[in-house]
Amino acid sequence: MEMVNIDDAKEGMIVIEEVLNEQGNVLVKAGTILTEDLIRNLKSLGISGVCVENAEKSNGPDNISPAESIELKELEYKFSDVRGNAIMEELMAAVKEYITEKGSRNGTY
Amino acid sequence: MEHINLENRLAKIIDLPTLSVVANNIIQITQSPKSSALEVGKYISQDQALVSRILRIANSTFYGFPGKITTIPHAVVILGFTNIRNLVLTASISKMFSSKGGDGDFDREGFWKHSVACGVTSKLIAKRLGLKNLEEVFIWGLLHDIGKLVLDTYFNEEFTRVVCLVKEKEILLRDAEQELLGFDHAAVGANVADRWNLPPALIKVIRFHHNPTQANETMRMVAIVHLADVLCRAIGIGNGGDSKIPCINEESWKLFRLNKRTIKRLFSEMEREIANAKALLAFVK
Repeated sequence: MEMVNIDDAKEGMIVIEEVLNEQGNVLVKAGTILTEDLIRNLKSLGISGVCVENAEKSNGPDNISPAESIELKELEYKFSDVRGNAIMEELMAAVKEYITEKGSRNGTY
Repeated sequence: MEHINLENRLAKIIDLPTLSVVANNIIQITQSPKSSALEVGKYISQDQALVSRILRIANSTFYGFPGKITTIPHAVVILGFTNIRNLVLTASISKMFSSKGGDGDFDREGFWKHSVACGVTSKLIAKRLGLKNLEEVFIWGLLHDIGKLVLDTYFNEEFTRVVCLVKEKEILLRDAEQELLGFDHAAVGANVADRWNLPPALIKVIRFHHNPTQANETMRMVAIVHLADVLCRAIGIGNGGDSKIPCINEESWKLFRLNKRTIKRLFSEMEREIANAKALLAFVK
């Protein structure tokens, strides 16, 4: 658990302590996965920080679910004969990012 | 192994499929600007199974029209000639192959999933380029690999060996086809499409989808399907018969000015549109 400044909050981080406004109303429930929209809204409401789980690891390619890990392994195999080709490297990077970002949107962290 | 010429091999298959009479008629009359919805409806109504299949898909989320379409002339007016022709053609082709299912290891369900995804993706790329004939492009993507079905059905024993070789050597299906047969599914598909008098643009796409540069002046349209094919493989939708990915043709890549960001956006559009195309998958299976 770690309190992060709202400017350092990233998409995919899991909120582990509910975020309240000045009136004590719950803005974000514990367990919510941060999205870019949510972070932007919190900023606009003047929220300065959020308590998140494993802030260091969140949103990083190392922190992936087992399903994504299998997907990424298959991806490495699929592209194994075309490594070094600039176009295919860019395509592979796009797929990798898409899989991990999709994972974070779906809350599989 | 001695490779026998493709033409000779195909000529020896006596029961090589022909398009249904209804499909042939529809292809002809939808090309004429003078045809009416009523006339098209009259031909389709000759096949009642086709009528119910078309009405079912016309009312699905794939087309997303509000209100219920209950008659074929209504469906023709709402969907347009090109969509109707595509449906009749697809129904005819899927039916002729479903009755003669391949007995080998080729994954037919995966094949159709990949084909539908390619149709949807080709359409998305064409839309991005500002092209108008999106329904035409859709059928290019949907039928580009039709040669695989011909091989699985009429060259089943050899095609089963091809599929085994793909797994054994971990190579692309087309390379295994070349190695064992001396020709690939693109050549087979184009040959059959030519016999069926399918639109010339579709035949070009089928023939050159592995290498759009060879399509010369029609490269741009072939490149759309080439790219859709590789993108669908990259993201893992359906199964084309192999697990490796071929390189994207450099000229095609440059033509569409793609990059990581635009591809990611395409992936998310593909995901949404392919979910809507479930009814079409039921239609072809």
